[in-house]
Amino acid sequence: MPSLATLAYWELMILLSGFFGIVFWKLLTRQIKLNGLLEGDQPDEKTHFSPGRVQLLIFTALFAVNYLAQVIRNPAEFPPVAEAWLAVLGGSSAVYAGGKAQSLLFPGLGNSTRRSP
Amino acid sequence: MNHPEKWVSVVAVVAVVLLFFAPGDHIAKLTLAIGYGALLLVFLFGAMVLTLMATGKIDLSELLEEESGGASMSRFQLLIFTFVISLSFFLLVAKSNEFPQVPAEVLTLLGISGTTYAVGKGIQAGSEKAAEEAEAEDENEKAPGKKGEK
Repeated sequence: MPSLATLAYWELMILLSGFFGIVFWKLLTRQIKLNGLLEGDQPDEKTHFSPGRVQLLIFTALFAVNYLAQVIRNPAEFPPVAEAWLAVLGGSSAVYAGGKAQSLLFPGLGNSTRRSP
Repeated sequence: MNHPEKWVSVVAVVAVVLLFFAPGDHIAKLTLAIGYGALLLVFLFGAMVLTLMATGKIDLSELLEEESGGASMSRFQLLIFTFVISLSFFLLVAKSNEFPQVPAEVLTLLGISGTTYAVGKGIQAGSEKAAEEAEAEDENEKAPGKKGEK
């Protein structure tokens, strides 16, 4: 009979892979809707392409790949997150939130042809 | 999966079998039985949730959707970070066989993601409230004109 630790390892491996697999599969087959992921809102319920969302997506993906690579390379402890990364992700989120606030709460601050973040 | 009592019975039977046939003294047998029973129970719960998700009975179609329609970037970011941290956590526990120390920077990262989501929701709610107030003001301005026409 396998030991408790071995059984727990395989059990978690199966469950986690199952959760990730199902979510990824549903994302790929559009069963989880991604429509409008890169579109900013406007007070008049119109949407426009949003550079603020694009930069947030790029920085998030870069960080995720970088961090997972570090863990796989050295799975001894959680790798420290460099302060530069925290600053970049914090700044990126602030740009996204600021752009959203500007386009929804103060639409008059930008000119009418400017795309909403 | 319609009869959870069946699965609980299976777990109980496995635990009892282990209790009788496992080597060692009574306490060791009991510890093993509880351990294997708990593992089996957790696996069955997880498998049940996975099956319901896969068959669509747990609806994930609006997992990333905002109330106003369209996918939410902050929800998507939170989903990615949750995957990354949970996968890292699993790999570290599997490798070192002990509970890893979560550094403050990782918590800060999850905080940034959660705060972005919360701020986004706040802005959305503020915008909707402002729109409602503007509509109410418009109606108030139109109302005296209508009275005058009469």
